[in-house]
Amino acid sequence: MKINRVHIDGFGKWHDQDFNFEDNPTVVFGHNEAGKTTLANFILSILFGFADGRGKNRFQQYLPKDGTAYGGSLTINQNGQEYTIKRTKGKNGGKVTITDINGHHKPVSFLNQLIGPLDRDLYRAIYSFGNQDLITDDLDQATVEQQLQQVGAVGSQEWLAQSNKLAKQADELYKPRGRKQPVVKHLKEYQELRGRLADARDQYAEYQQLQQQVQSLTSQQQRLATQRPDCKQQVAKLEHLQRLWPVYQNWQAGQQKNQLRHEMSDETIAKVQGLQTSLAEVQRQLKANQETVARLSGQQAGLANEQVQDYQNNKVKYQQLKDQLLTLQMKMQNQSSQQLADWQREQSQIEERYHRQPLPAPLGENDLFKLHTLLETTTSSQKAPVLALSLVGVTLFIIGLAVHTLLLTVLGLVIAIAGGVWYYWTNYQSAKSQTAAIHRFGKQHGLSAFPTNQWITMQADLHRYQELQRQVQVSHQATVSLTKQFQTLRQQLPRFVQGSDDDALINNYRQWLVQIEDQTQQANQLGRELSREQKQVVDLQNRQSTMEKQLSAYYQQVDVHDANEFSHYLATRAAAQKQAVTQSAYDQQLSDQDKQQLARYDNEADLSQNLTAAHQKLAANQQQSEEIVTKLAHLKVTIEDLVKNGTYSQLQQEQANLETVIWQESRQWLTYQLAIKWIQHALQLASADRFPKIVHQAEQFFTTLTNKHYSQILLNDEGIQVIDDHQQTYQVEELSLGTAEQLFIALRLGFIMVIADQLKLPILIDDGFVNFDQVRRHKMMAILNQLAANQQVIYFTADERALNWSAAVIDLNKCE
Amino acid sequence: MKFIHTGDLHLDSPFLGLTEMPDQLWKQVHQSTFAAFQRIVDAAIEQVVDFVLIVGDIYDRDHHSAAAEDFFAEQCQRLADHHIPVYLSYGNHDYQPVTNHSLLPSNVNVFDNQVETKFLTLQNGQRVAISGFSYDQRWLDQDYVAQYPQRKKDIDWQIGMLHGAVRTGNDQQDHYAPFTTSELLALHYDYWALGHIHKHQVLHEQPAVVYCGNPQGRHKNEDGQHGYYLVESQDDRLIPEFRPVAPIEWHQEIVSINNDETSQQLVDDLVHQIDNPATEDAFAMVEIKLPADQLSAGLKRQVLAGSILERLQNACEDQQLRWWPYQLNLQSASTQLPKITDLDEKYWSESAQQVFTSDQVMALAGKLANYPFIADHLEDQQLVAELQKSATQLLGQGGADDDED
Repeated sequence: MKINRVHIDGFGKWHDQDFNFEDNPTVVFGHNEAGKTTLANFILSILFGFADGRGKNRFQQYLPKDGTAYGGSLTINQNGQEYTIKRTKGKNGGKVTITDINGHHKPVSFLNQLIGPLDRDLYRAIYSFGNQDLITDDLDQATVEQQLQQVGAVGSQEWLAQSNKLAKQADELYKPRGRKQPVVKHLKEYQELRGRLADARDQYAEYQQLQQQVQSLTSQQQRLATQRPDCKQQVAKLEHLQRLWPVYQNWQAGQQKNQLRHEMSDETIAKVQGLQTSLAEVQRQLKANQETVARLSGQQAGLANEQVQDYQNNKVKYQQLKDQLLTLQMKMQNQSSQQLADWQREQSQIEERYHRQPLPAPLGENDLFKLHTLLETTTSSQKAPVLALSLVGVTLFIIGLAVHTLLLTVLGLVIAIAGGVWYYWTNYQSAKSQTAAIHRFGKQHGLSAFPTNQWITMQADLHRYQELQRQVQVSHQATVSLTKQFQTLRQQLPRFVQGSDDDALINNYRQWLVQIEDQTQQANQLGRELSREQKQVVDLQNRQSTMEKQLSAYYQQVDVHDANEFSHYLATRAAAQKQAVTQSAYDQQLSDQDKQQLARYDNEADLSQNLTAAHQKLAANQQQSEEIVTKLAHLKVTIEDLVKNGTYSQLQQEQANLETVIWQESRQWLTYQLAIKWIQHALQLASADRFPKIVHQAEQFFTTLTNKHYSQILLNDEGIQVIDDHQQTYQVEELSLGTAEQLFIALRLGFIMVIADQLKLPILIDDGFVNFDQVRRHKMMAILNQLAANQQVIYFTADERALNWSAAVIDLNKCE
Repeated sequence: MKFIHTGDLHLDSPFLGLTEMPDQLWKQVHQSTFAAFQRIVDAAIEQVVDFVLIVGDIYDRDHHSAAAEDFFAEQCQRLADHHIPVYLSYGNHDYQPVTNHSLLPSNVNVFDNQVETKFLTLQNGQRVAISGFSYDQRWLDQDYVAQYPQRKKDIDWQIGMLHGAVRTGNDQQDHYAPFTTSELLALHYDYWALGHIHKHQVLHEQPAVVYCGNPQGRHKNEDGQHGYYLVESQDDRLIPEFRPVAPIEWHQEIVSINNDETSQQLVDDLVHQIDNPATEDAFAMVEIKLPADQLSAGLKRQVLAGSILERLQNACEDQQLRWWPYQLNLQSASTQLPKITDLDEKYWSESAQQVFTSDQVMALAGKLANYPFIADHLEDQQLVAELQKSATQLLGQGGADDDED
């Protein structure tokens, strides 16, 4: 392709401007800001599209400031035909129209044929030389190399396009680090699905687990069902036992408590009890007897004193003494004190009657007679002495009778008669003495103090009085005698017999005799009683001993020692019998089996505890069973849900489907990638054939440019190396900047030369080679001239020396 | 005597190679492994068979679902209700240690992990001995046939159950209780009920050595009819008869095109030509191959873009056809490269040799190969050739594409 003319409608500073590039090479000269770069960019923009407002080329849009139409056209020559490429403002780099000389439109792809696989950057990398274009530029060495290779397979535009398209399609399908591509998305989905699947797969484990639970629960249920009757039976049994427990407890207590060690028949016991009663009676009797004996002994002891003894020994003496005393007493009683008293009282009465004391002696009978003669008065009362004397006689007589003593009786009788006679005589004498001489008489006889008339009458009294006096005197004399006798007798009396008077003494003595006699008799009787009682005591004691022996024998039978113990035994036995009755009642309520079973429990609490345990076991059984039923129902529902829940199979199918999709996409992607590789590799193979030519050409340029300092370029897997005239090898990095630039220029030029047969594009040089020294610059110019023979070369420069260059010049300074 | 020989039920395992389908169809697909076995149980009951043999791979261990197990137990219970015993051995897909503890009904007799013989007496008094074993691991390299007892003398029928593959002699492949037919015949059994190979086939006529195949094919390679064998005694022989049950059949149809010009014509033509290729009562999953050279570039492109398949599927769905096109591929008459005028042929072929290699494919796949299902595909020996074919087609197509722009 050769650019013949450039027409700018509006681009940067240029508007409606034409340039002619028909000459080759053409130098475009202009000072800074003259529009060189704008023009160069215009050419690139028409070929590769306007720069958009983005990226590194955003300042290369060159939109006209004055609002004139943007764009313009290139008229080019391709294979001898002239075409006009027009680009106006539009999307994607502007609207392109291509017309041939006849104004016929050509397809846009025609432009691709012209520029080959190149884009703006690649074109600049290869065909454009300038300060900014060299290795420091964005396109690095590797890219350049790659592009060189690809471009090297000339005629491959279509394939490269195809490759790019495939790459795009492939990228749309999958990028290893992508996010939005279908494969990536599907793989992500796939991962998620796998996660869900794993979860769903657990459902199976769950199902199996549930089924196993069902199985285990079912067997548990069966086991529980089998156990339940046992549990119930156990509860019933224990309840039964619990009901029996009080009975059992009593029974057991009875068993332990009332075991009589010694049995004794009721008959024997009756015997024993009879014996005991008898014994008691005997003992009571014995005691009574002993008491009697004691009492008697005491009495005996009381009776058996000295007096009794004495009495016993002197009984006769004492009796005689008594008789004597009695006799004496009788005598003394004849001197009766009563009589005496009567006498004395009579005396007193007489005295009182005469108010004189003592009274004169009575007149004897003569005197009395005398007196009586004197006075004719006689006195009476001769009977009293007789009577008194008689009384004594009678008394004696009676006593004599009483003591059967004839002597006494006779004596008494004599006395009585004598007494009477004696007394009658005496009285008669006294009365006769008093009769004559009253006065003298009176005086003689002491009767003067008394009226004479009373002399006679009074004589009786005086007599009586005298009698009385005599009698009293006699009585006193008798009494003294008797007393004397009495005293004698009294001496013989036991000392202790006392008495206030003699009578009392006698009485006491008599009483004592009676008493002592009585005592003696009593003592005798006591002695008899005592011996009788004592004999009885012995008898009783014998009986007691016998009974006690018998009882003892019985007691021994039941191992007791006495009645107390025996009665205790009996009480125990009675209790035992009572207990035995109760026990038997209890016993009837308890079967042997009950007892055996009950015996296993220490106490009711133990049994209760067991019962509670049994209840609990049964309850637990039932509860477990119910729980299992519930659980089973729940499990069955869960299992049913699991079974009906098709999630897992659905997910599996989804997974399978997704695998299919992913594989189809992956396969498609692989197909794209392989196709790309296939193309690229084919292109590489094709371009590889051109490398030697490119390198050979480049070597020539490089040798020329370096003034033959370097002779060889090596292009291999390790990159680019050069060899100098001393056969020294250098890496590109080891070269000086200028030399490196020259190397790449040489390589690019070599490449341009070699592919010129397939792709000829204008070479644009924008103030290039500034780093070259004068010599090299000249050499470069020579090379460019050489190139221009075959290819269009456009040289943009501000260097006025270029004007001297043998080439056509467009002076931009003049265009304005 | 009469019995059913089946196996490889693969209950509830997914269908491979399918993508988009109407829900109703999915449901049918999903139910198909179940439905197939249910039909077998129906047949067992209807035929009043003496017993049912299931020679392994009832489930996929990797795809074991509660639904599958529950369903299987339920179906066995149906057989139990009809007093039909089941003799079952586990295969390489459902290998497991066999214990007394089983969740299956009591009519199911599971073979031990070592070869054992089970006996049963038929109603007619005949005695049957059945020998077999269950896998306890995925691979069983040893010769299990050697463990099978010689035919018993005091029985009327001796049957061997064996889940395994014919010995190839390649140690890398003989992982499934490898055996040889002659080895089996040497035991003088009356019938060999084989499992593991999904395509039903008779290895030997009399005595019969038979692979029952799986009752339901699960991907396009398991195409055609699938079912079970009903085995009946005739005199002193056991005669197997194949009975199809698979509710879904996989088919491949190569259709020649009658100069269709529009896509609608093409779709109508396909509907008309394909009709229902499946057995009665079965639904067909159809892969259609169109000869590329009979199609216009536009139609070809539509085929490649998938729009024709989509329209065809819509048509099938609308018309409620008993088949479903799950794939529509172009079949190239030639695999030649399109003309590349600019580049020498030698560059292309030389490049192809270097590009179309397993290594290149694996390198390209990169981390995609981490996915086992992709790795499986990548290891496919045919893959590279197929990819080259596709790439060739693609590049040829690419040229055509450009023409349009």
